[in-house]
Amino acid sequence: MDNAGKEREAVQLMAEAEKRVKASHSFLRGLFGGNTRIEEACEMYTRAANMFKMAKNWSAAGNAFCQAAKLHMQLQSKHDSATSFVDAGNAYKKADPQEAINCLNAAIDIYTDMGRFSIAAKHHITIAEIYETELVDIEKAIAHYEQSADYYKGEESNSSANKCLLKVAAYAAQLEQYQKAIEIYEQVGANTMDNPLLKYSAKDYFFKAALCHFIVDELNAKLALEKYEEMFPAFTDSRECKLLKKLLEAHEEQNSEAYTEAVKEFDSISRLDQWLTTMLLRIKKSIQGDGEGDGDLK
Amino acid sequence: MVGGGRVNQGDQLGDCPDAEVVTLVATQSRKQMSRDICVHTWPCSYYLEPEKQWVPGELSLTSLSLKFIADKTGKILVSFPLSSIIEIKKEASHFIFRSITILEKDHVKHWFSSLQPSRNAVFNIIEHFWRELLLCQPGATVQASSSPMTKGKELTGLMACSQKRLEDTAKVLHHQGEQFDNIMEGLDKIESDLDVADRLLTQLESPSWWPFSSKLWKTPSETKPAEGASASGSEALGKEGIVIKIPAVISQRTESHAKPGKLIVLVSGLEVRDSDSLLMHRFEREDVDDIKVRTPYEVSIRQRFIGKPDITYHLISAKMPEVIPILEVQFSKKIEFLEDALMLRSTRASSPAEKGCSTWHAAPGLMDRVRPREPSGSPGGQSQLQMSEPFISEEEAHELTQILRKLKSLALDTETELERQDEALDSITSSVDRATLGIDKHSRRMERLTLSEQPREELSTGRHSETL
Repeated sequence: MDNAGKEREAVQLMAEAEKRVKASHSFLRGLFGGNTRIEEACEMYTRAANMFKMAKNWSAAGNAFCQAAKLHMQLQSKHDSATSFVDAGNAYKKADPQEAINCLNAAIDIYTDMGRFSIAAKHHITIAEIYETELVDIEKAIAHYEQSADYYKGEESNSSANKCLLKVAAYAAQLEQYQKAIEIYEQVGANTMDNPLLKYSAKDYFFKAALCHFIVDELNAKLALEKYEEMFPAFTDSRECKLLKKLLEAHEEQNSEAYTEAVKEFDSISRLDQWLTTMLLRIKKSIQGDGEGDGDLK
Repeated sequence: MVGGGRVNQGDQLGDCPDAEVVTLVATQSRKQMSRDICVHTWPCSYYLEPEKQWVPGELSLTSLSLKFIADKTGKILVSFPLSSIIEIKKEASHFIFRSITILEKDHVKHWFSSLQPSRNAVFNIIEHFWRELLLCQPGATVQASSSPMTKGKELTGLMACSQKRLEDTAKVLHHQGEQFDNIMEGLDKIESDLDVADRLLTQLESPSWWPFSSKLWKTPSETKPAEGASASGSEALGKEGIVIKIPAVISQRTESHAKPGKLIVLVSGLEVRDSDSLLMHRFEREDVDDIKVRTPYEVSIRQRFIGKPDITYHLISAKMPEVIPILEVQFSKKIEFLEDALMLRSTRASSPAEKGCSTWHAAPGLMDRVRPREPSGSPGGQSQLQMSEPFISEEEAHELTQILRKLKSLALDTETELERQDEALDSITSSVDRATLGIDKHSRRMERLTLSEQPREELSTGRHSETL
């Protein structure tokens, strides 16, 4: 009930704001008075947007923020325009993901123009997340994560960049673009290897890279494993490395029982996450695939 | 031989693509029916992407695949093998409706919503069966899967867990450190901007004759980073012989609170533990009043009380077929098979000699599952299993020391990083103080300037309105 009132009020404000904009257009465009009118209109749009927000009318709120952003742009206040676009994006996110992406892209353009790359990167991540969850367009999500990683790297925020890259790698592996995933994991692993705090997780990245190698080709995995051990001696006595060796052995003998046993032992100590489960299942399938063909043809 | 047969089963399902499903259903389902018993069905609704609408129906899970059947048409809308799942997630559609999303191999996302009895229950069960696909070898015998966890292994598990946590903490800490560095940079920029502003203001105030000094507000803003400490509590297992221990999805009374955990069959009773190995309930052997086998994958255990509500636990597990024979030996009088599980009963009842040929009867897939577990069900196997040694082997001790060493160095590194961040925070605080002071000063100066400007401005706006 209260919400309905708020919405009505918001609609009124919107209409009034529009009137002001028109007035500024027709009479005193570019003059001092015109600008104050636009400023007022801007403020009204923002207020209307906030009221729509309270009424949970997200697309109307997004629209109002968008208008405000455009007016801010007219007034040459880039920063305000960008923040309004971000607000618009956040509001649209709940109703119209595609429109939200457009708004956030507009905000990113402004931010990159101003040289605020880390903020732009942050919004790239938001877009990627929308693609990931709402629109399920993983390819595009990957592209945005990559862009954001590039920006972060430019700003020397390596850990944020790594975070994005790891996302890219995980998705690439899921999409069976193993080469790309391997490259990223190796790169991140090499980057973190020398950092006193991060070197402890480097083994995870090498493990994942080796797994991707494994899915493509067993021999490659062996070579890669040797390479990693040489690069990063601490990898040798990690549980991940031992598991890999066992799996490779089992795969060589086409022994799916030994394979399962090794995986189970690993899982009993630390639980496998979903990504690892998927990858290990893919490898397991390749073992079973050779063993029998009659099952498929039934 | 037995193992080979089961492997086939996996692949046959693994290779049925989505599009052909509807046509293949008639032939396939018959085959699957016999091999693959439905674990559970839940009423729910499914989102049809092209039509953009939710269709009510039933989601049914077998031990190898997942199907959705629409209520109205009875058509199978979705059917895929569990092995093609990439990811299972809990999400909210339209930010309100709690639903489960399953990402299939070719990045097809399936939305299931309005799940009955609760989303978490369904999620846990589906995830459990998906994981078991990887973790359990169809041909493996029960001995392997039920090998009791030694103390050493458990310790290793705990240590590995804390190591993982500490690694994550280190990652976050590092990220935080980087952010502090960025803050410092940002503050430096602010300071230099303030210098410029200062210069410009002085220029504007050039005719001013009043020295500006004022009492300033001090608002030191400082945020203490929250430190996520990880603690893992656990309880040592009882000393007595563990017959079998399986992961299971546990729910009490109603199914709405299902969560993953473990069922441990002891010689003296049953223990239900949650995922952190904390004891949820212990049934003494004499106390168990009945055990109902609902499907080969689901049992419920009940203990009656006079004047109090019964204690009932429902357990669903992919490994349940291994446990049922054991339970049957232990609680022979109290176990009860419901209709779905009746065939299990019949196979159990037949003598071992007949078993070979009865494999060709109704549920061969199930029979296979039951048969190799036979030895563990017999009393001989049990007594052998009773003697689980709680010692730590040389190898485990070695691994433990290794993990401990890593933990120690990790902790030391974390400490140095924390100290560094403390210092950074100190300098950030003072720098923020300086900046607030500067901004305050400038705003006052600007106020004064605009105050002197205002009369002129008012004049100009007045003129404007006149022209209008």
